[in-house]
Amino acid sequence: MVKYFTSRAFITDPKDVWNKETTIGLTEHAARVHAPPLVYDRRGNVIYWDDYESPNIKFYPEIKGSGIVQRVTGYIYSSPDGNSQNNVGIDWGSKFGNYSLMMKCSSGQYDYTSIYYVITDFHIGKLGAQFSFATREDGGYITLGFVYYDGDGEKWMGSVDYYLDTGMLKYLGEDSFYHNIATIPYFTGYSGEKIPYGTIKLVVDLSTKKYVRALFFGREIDLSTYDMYHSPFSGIPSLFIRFWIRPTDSVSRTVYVDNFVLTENEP
Amino acid sequence: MTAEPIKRISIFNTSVTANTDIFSSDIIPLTVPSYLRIYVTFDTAGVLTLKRTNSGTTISENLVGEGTGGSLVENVPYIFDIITDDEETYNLQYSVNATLLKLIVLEIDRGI
Repeated sequence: MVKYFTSRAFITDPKDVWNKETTIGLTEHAARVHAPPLVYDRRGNVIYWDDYESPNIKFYPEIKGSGIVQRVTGYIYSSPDGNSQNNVGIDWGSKFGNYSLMMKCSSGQYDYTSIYYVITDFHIGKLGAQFSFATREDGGYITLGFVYYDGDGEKWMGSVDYYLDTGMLKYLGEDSFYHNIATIPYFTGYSGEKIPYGTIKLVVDLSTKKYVRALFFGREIDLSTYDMYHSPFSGIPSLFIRFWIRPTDSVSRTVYVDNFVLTENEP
Repeated sequence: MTAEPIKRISIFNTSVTANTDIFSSDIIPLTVPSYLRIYVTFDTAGVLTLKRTNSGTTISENLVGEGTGGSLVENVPYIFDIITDDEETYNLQYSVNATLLKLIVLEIDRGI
């Protein structure tokens, strides 16, 4: 028997009908997925995660233009003038482990590079998706979204769009247009310094077709009054979790992604 | 962590045309850096060339059969390791019309 939690007792393991902890409780799960660093926001039950350490990439790339998606390691760079103290470091790397996923989009106005993961094992309720990303770019768009697909089309969509130039965060409204939510400036690093990974998380409620909240770099934004874009649906649903990057100013953009976590039973 | 080879291309007993790309589309590495480990056997002697493309520019690197002056010996299998780099794609060409008896390309994400 499976028992689902909606409480905030994050360190409590599920118990069966005999009040015994099961063998796949949160503690064991945490140990398996290295949860302390991986799960930035621990609310919800983890139903899928990926840290891109496996060479078998589970996300499907969808690219318009000449973008690319590849697993990468960091590399050591050094100063051209030989002054090793000025400019030596490890570029990018990953948030944890050895690899991250590099996404590069080409510079065309309508070009994009995206990755998406399809899942059918979920419950109609509050789901959350989070990515950590890093970039040295001073422009470009990043979008994180849920697409609810019933075999006949994309019927529900909830996504947030982040504009690196200004830090403007937008959501996809019921009218299928993006609307401003807040301005959250992205970290500005020193020259030559690695830009730290930051986490974005979006929670939506599939039962009410409403947004719930977004987390951007530690800031929580209440979105519970916003409706998702949706249309009538039928058939067996599947869910696409998708992460896009798009260029601005006719400049190709590169973003490094790590530590994807999908949760359900979000509070 | 152990290396996990991933099969990228597999061809068996297929004709190839001289100086023409063997793969219908270039191999884009899943991981960089990684190795493309190529096992290949032709029925005719010839020179196997790696076509490495970056940002629209393609360079050629001959994959040399040891002790043969550059050509591969017919009906003899060879193994090559190609090291991949950021934003590069890869293809192969052979210098003569031949039958490609066997070719398999594995992508290996770390050294073994």
